[in-house]
Amino acid sequence: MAAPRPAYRIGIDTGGTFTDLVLADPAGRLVATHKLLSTPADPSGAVLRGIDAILEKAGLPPQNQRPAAVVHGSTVATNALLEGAHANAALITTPGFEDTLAIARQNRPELYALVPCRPDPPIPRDRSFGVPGRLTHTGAELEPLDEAAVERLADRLDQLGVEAVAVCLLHSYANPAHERRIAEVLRGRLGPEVHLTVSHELLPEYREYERSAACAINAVVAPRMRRYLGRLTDELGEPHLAIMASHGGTLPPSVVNDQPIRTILSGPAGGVLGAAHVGRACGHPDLITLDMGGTSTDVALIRSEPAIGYNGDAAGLPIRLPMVDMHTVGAGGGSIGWLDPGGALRVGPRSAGADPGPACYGRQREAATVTDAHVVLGHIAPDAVLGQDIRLDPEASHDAVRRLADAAGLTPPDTARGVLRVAEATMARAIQHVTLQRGHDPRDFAFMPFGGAGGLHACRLADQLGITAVLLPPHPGLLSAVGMLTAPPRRMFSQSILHTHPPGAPIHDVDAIRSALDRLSRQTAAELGDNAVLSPYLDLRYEGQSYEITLPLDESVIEMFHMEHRRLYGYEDRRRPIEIVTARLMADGPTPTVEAPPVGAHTGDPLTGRIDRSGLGAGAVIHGPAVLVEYSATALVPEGWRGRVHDTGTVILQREGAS
Amino acid sequence: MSFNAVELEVYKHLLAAAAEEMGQRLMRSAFSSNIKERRDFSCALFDPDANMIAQAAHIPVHLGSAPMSVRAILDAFPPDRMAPDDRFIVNDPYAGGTHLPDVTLVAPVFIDSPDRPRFFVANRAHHADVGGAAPGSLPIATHIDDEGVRIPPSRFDDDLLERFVHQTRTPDERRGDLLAQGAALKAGIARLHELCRAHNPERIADAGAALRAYTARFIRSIIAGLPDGSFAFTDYLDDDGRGREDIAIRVTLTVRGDTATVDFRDSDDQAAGPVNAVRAITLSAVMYVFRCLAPADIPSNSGVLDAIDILTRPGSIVDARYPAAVVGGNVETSQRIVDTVFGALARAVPDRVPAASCGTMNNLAIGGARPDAHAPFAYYETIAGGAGAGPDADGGDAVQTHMTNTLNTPAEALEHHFPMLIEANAIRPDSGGEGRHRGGDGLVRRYRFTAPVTVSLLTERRRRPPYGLAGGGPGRPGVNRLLHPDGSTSDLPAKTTLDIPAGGGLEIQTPGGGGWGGNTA
Repeated sequence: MAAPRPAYRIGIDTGGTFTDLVLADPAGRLVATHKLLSTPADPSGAVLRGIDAILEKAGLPPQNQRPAAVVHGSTVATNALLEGAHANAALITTPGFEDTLAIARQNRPELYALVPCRPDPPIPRDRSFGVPGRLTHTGAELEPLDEAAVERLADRLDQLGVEAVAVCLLHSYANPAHERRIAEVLRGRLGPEVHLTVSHELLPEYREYERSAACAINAVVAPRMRRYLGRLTDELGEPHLAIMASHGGTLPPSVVNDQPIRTILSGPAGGVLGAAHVGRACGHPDLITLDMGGTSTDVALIRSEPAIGYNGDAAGLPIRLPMVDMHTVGAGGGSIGWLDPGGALRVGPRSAGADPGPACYGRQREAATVTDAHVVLGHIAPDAVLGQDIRLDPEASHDAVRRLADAAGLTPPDTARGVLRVAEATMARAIQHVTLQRGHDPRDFAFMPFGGAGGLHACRLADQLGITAVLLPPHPGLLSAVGMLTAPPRRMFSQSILHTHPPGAPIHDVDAIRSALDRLSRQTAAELGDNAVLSPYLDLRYEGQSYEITLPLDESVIEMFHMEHRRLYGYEDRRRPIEIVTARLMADGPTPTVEAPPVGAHTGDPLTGRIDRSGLGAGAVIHGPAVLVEYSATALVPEGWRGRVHDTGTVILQREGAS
Repeated sequence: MSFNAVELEVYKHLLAAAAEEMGQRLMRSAFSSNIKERRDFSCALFDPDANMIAQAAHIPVHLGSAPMSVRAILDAFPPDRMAPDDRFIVNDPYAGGTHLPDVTLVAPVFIDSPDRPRFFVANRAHHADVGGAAPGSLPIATHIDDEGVRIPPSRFDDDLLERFVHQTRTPDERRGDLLAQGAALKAGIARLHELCRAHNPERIADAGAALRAYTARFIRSIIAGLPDGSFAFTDYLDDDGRGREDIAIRVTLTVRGDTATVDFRDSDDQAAGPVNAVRAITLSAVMYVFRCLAPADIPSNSGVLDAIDILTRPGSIVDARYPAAVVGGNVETSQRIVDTVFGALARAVPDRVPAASCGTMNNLAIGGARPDAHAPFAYYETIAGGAGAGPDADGGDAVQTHMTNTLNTPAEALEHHFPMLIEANAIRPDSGGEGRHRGGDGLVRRYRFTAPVTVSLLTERRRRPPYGLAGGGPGRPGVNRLLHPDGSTSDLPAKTTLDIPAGGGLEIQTPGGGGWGGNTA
């Protein structure tokens, strides 16, 4: 592989409202930023216009003369899935398992629903087809593949005009031969236009429903993603484009074409990477991030690197591919406060969204949202500009909150404070989910809010959780785009092994691990070259368990497992055999660096009250109570908190009395 | 003690999170498929009087019965003589349990209260084998002593642990599960300590009471919305597996203002076979029905039953007395109790109540020797069926309904761990009842065994179908079929234990749900 020519690099985050771009010079210094309205019907419109604009801003020649390397966070796959805009796709299964997607795990999502129902399967039942052939769990062939049946099915799929096909046979992780043969026949018969997802390629791990669901999701979003990437690569040139993936690295368009499911958390992963970058730069590598949007809030954990999980979900479907471990709760700035018939004040899950939006947007006066509570309490200045150039109507907030206060039998200020407390109780649960439930103590982390309103809740949540440091990044709206510029090219592969390891046996003798990792290394070498940094991992559990712990593979991995099991679950059992369930390989290309321009120095007395953040230089000191205001974001610094502006522009808030 | 609208909601989150964390720990560190894959367990917090103040949403059949386990421990061990490290265990259906496989662990929680516990935490998990006459502890017995090891309320220590696990067929797995249950208790205790540090113990204790009252207010408002009057309904169990058929559960629901009486006293006598429900089951089933009428996200606690009086007759099928066999009370009769109470409600509010769902958990236990490991195994699962159609919607296909919500075990996991192949796991076509809204279809699950096994089936709705409502048709009854190695098949009874040779198999077709409304076409 030739060494890449030093180039300018552009990070692009496509959001629901805005598309944000940042430009770094070949040395990694951030030299320009640009924000424009998104074009949801075809997000590439804003992306391409944004690239032209930011290059022009920086006085650089246009993309077709001197191409910049573009890293793009794409919501195309996510939106296709969430909106149910599914391609015409088919699923091929082992006979008897055609209904795997429809049956799922046979449980119902809502325990007390009078008429229980599950989300529709991504591929409908009448597009699921079994082909004779059967393997056992060891990969042995019990019944050969019926090739004639595959040929007939290929004809049928051709007639049905499917755009994508997912193939998921039982035990293909142990022996891919049948799936491979089906793929060959389909490719020959249907041609390259029809997208193929083959389960042993996408997710060679046991558990047929979860594997089928991943394949089906991949299949139904693939045609749309392929069209989208086609438009972008036509304009930008394929070598100059990389896509942010859910696992915290970038992927080339060719891989995303095959496996668009790997971009389901593209944008959020950029945000978490950006947060990690800011945290490292000011000496806080371990962070809890809180991205508060209009209807929901995402929480993630960073321990030097963003935590990666393998048990995520989207649209009620499991996604067993590596993704930044993120927990989402239905409380955001637009979440509506209401009084339930039992007399409790609730917030969400209903949201006023961006339209009509909170009462203070002036388009409704009935529903009091979290944002309205902030307006009533004076946290958001009456002359503030929110969202897309919306002037505040504080009276409407007061009206809406008063209505809720009357129902709850509280004063309007108490009601407003109550709305915030309840929203924060929901967010605190999300934080506990990524910390305590994963065996981490939130007090060991600093807290970093982003999104327009995260800063309004950060110190209050920190107090609740015993967290003593809060970081407010500069330009929170650009965090995700910046993060994308710090993402290394990355591949993550896995292989189910299901090997039982007797107590005391050495780990380096295990053939199953070695052969799986050899295979995965060859796969990464083919895609990333020989210079990639390889990190092998194992998923381990005590024999008989069902949930695995993922640990780096070295000689101490067995010992680490016992210790980690004790830390997570409170006990260990050294007499019990350990099952090595899955081998994983993470391969990273070179990690690019990004450096924000330093902010000027600040001298003078500590600041308090309402502070315009854009005027703050490094070294400025803030004493709570204070409100920090900047374009599109506001942060509250309560009494008892003190802040200092770091050289990078990040405001570091500390609880007084904490070391 | 007063809690305003804001505090109610905040404390609701705090207590629910503590119960939820216990559940997560148990699920992730347990060994038997029942707990880890199927999630047949629940975790809850209790006040010193054994009132449940928070439950992690898991298995409805544990709802009303978990408090009775804590009560039974309190009756046997005076709280003022408990110590912080004490752990207690019970599975005796006649002293706070439900059926023998459900083993409950209880721990006192002392917080600034040296004299007596301020809270209790408990968890209950379904163990795949607790001894008894057949692997999987699902025998068609006539005496509880044949159903497995019965543990009265006892102090739980290493000695009892070892004695218990060695009376089961799978001591290693049992030990692992109990270890996981114990560790989950510890997590619950730690979380309560933290909560009390941050919020003051009295306040947390009061919050429990306030949340019970809160849930009770919901339930009262729902009852107040029902018309006053008496509404009767009868539904039947197919049989008791011992030759007695058509066992009636008769209920009269009487609504007066915001309180209700649910009277089962006319129900048939307890049976010889193992379909007897102890009263704890009946409470759970009634609690579940009213909980369904409330919004999805209210806290599940003892407050659900504050406004409801449940009358049962000792010695009847819904309030069995020693030494009746009870393993199916929990997993089968509970479903029929739900069907009768919903049936009575449909007479009161016909436009709100769904038709009967499949009405059985289709219990299957499989045991034998693992050919490679020479170690015995015991596996238990329940199989989903069709959901009853509602006034506004078709019933869901192949979905767990009412008193259970356990997951299936992936075929790829089953085949890895046990000598069997899953040949099909499919939706059973045309098994849902006809109607304006169709009942959901049941499920077909086919097993082929690669070693000799002993199988127990405990199923219902094989003769009497799930009812339709408002003119909708009934769901199709289920079918249990034996697959002989030579390819022939024969029908099996609803409840049976049998040996199947290698090469033989089983096909279970589960019932569809009832339809709702006449066909207008």
